[in-house]
Amino acid sequence: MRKLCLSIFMLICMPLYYLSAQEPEDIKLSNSILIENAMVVVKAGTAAKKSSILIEDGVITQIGTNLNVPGDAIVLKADSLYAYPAFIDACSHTAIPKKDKDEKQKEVKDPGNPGYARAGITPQKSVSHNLALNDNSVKEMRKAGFAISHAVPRGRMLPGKGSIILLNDDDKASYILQDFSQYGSLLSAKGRVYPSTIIAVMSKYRDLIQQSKNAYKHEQDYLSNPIGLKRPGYAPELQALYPVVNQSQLLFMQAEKTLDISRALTLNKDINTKMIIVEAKQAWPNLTALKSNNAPILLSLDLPEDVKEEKKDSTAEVSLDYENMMSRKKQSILDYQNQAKFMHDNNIAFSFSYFDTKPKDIHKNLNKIIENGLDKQVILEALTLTPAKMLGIDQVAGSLEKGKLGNVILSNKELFTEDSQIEFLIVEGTKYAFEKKEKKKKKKKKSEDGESTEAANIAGQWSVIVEVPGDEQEAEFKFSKDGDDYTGVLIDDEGEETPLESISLDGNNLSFSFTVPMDQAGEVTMDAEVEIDGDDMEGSLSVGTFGSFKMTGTRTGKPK
Amino acid sequence: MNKYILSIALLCMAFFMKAQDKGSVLIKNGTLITITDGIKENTDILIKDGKIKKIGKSLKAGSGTKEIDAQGQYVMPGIVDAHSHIGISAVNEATAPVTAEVWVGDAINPFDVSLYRALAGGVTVSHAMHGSANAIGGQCETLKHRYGTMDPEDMRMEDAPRTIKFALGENPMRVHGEGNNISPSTRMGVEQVFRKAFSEAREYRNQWNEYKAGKTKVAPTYNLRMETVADILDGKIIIHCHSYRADEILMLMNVCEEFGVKKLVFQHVNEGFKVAPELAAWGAGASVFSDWWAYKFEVYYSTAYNAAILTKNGVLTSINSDSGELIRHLYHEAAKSQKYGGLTDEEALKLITLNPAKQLGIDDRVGSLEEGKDGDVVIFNKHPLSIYAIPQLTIVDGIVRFDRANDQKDMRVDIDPEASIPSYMEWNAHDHDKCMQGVFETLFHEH
Repeated sequence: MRKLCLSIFMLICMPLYYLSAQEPEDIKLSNSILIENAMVVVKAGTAAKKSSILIEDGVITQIGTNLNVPGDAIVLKADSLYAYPAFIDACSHTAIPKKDKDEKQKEVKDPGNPGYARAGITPQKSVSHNLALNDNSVKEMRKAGFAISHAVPRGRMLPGKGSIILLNDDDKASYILQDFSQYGSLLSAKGRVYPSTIIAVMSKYRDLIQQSKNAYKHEQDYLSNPIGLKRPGYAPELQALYPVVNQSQLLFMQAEKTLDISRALTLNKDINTKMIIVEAKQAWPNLTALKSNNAPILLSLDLPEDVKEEKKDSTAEVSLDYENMMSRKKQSILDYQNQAKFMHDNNIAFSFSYFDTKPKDIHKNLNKIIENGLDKQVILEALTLTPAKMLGIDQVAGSLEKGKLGNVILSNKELFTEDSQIEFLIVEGTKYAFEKKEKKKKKKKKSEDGESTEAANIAGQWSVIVEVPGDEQEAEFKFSKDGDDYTGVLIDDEGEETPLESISLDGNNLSFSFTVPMDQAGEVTMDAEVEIDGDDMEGSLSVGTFGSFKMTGTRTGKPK
Repeated sequence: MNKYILSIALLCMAFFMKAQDKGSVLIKNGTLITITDGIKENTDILIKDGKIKKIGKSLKAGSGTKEIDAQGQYVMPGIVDAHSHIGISAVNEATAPVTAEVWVGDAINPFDVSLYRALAGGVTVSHAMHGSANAIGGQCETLKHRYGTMDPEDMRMEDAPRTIKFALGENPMRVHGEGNNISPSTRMGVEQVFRKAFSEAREYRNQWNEYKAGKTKVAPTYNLRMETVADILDGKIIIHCHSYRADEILMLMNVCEEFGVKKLVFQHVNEGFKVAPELAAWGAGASVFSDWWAYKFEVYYSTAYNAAILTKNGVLTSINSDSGELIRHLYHEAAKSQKYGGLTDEEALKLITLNPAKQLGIDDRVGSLEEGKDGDVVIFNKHPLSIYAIPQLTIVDGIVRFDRANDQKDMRVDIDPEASIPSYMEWNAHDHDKCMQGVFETLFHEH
């Protein structure tokens, strides 16, 4: 009986899986596509109007009624659909695969002088060298309505240059602006090498920028009159920063919490770059500094969820002032959720960045912001016109106008309403269709007699992040199926394995524990409890008596 | 009737007031311990817009100025701690023996609740220092405890002189010599780190001077580390040096003498009593613990008479906390020095007010109750050197930042929307920074 249930379940699930994993694409028979009779929102702030759009060779050539349509145009009947300018992702790691974990960190002889690369400083590198348009992130961003991404490299302090790319599958045609920006963060170097703290990162920026300025001057002097001058040396890192120093290139600076933002903006008073704050989660206390920075800000869409009433721990002291603390926590959650509204109310132009948000959560979180009182048109502007201007591509993108790129969202209803769904995305005239979302079939956790039936399959390699206060720790787990049970190991940076104990899987709920030695004396046992959702896991890791931390992870490899 | 007529609302207002704001307050009929002008009984002190405007009898404040009745209470200047590590997000850049360019002022953390606890101990100014891993560590920051702000800039004591942390002995030897197998691995090596850095900085400064004078055409390679060391040589930065042994204390004084460096304060200085006349003659300051030692080998030879011996020998001496706990009762530490070493009340209280202020170069602003100085005041129920003394009210720039009568349970400034409430309390029960660093380093080989 059990077996039969299982096979029926598989039958139901498999086709769905395949459908949702694929994005059928037209075989291009024509270079023209006509979107016929849609409710068209030409740009943020305008009302929807019945009209048609003709895209030829990727560019919008006509928009309105009674178009002069070439005979071979592919016609997309859109009578029941809304058309919007496709979204522009102002900053993310889209199309940049995660770095290979096996890449081992070399031992550094003198941790005070690790060299630029080991310190996380490679501004001469370009994201273009690492682009993978077949990466899943491209598909997922398209599904969320994005036709253009500003992709920046992964890394620490100054990992390299970002490029603006079209999210289509054609590698060669994908660049809009190559090496458009420089990307930076306040992250210290990996491992214990300089800069290992925020204070050293700040100093390193000052040092680098001043050196770059001097090197630039030296180069210019040498070019104008070399007599008596030493020949300028080869310094790719410093040379790569010239455009930043000269303010001809934007520096996108990741800074999430208010102190990071404050540090970044304070630093910028010294280094004097055109700085854009990226992935801001708590920027409202920085209003004054943001105003004087005189640039748009990119907000994170990683919003805290509404509070679940926490169980009052009976052992916790009554004097904890629980009610007051809970109400402050709720207020804090609201503050985070209302960040976009705050920026709008205070006339700070904003868009979003997508480092910590999964593409599939983007619309959910946008809807949350709208629910809390921000106008839909403002959100649409933040996803189209604002990033277009910020990235300097408003001549070619950001609205549905003649001469602009044929980047169009077609949705079944008005965007940002309940059940609205993007059915097609046109990227430079290429159509991508998305399966209609079926209401998710709830995976049955318990059968009628109360026994668990379907256990998730956890086999494979998992990469997890544990959020400890002020930091994130990464780890790798590997699970293998062993009969009906699982075995698993924790893998550290050196490739050393620590076995996982008491692995228990009930439906989607996985728990396990492991013991690691501590620096001083003894060892500490950690207990993980997570919920598995396909290739994602989310839950907590409790560490002895130190408390419990949020742990999230994704499956990075499945056994063949 | 509560003597401190401050409603909760008023406190909240003060708490969330913009930190740079200056307040006005009139404290009536207290026993003023001025530090520089004796004891004044039944005297008023008027703070106007953050500064002490007037000290005298029967003062009148303008309408709207808060009045505090301090009858039977002791009013003294806010306590100054010349050595602490609270209110900053990073302490040690322990990757190189010389890291003069780093600056803890780049990482001020106004959310550290230790700042509020320090206020509860009457401390209004603390010297947030870089750690002692490196022979020449980073620059420090003098903080005013304007707790309640979200803006780290508000915490800075504006215009306080620049200071930098040096360290002698076992810490730099262990971290760099033993840890990374680079110099210094002996006390001799530590001395050479200073000599080398000073010499290179002098050379660096010369090169730049030549360039600026047009003698060379290409600018020397900019180096913020050397810039900073050169600023020390130029007398722009006060050295605060972690030290224990007398021989090393003499060594650093000799090195500084040789390079013309004059601004020098020793921290800890547990063997300072052995070289007190030399310290006094050189003009170096000493900031000590009252009776804390034997926590590592080089700190076994010490005495609770240290502060008194140094003081009697004419060394500018202070008592510091170096700890988020000790900072809450520095007045006890001062009292201990008095009990052991027989200092006068004024001498003992100077150890935690005017003397540390001088060592930080801020004695024109704080450290005593004088007209024109900052309105930083703490009111005690008993004489501050009494074991029964408890701070009642702590005022910074004329704004009440701690009021024992209205001490709220939850004084956090920044609320993490995702932290669970019980776990937050657990955090406080442990010294999580240290503990967790160890655990996670071992587990995940991070940082």
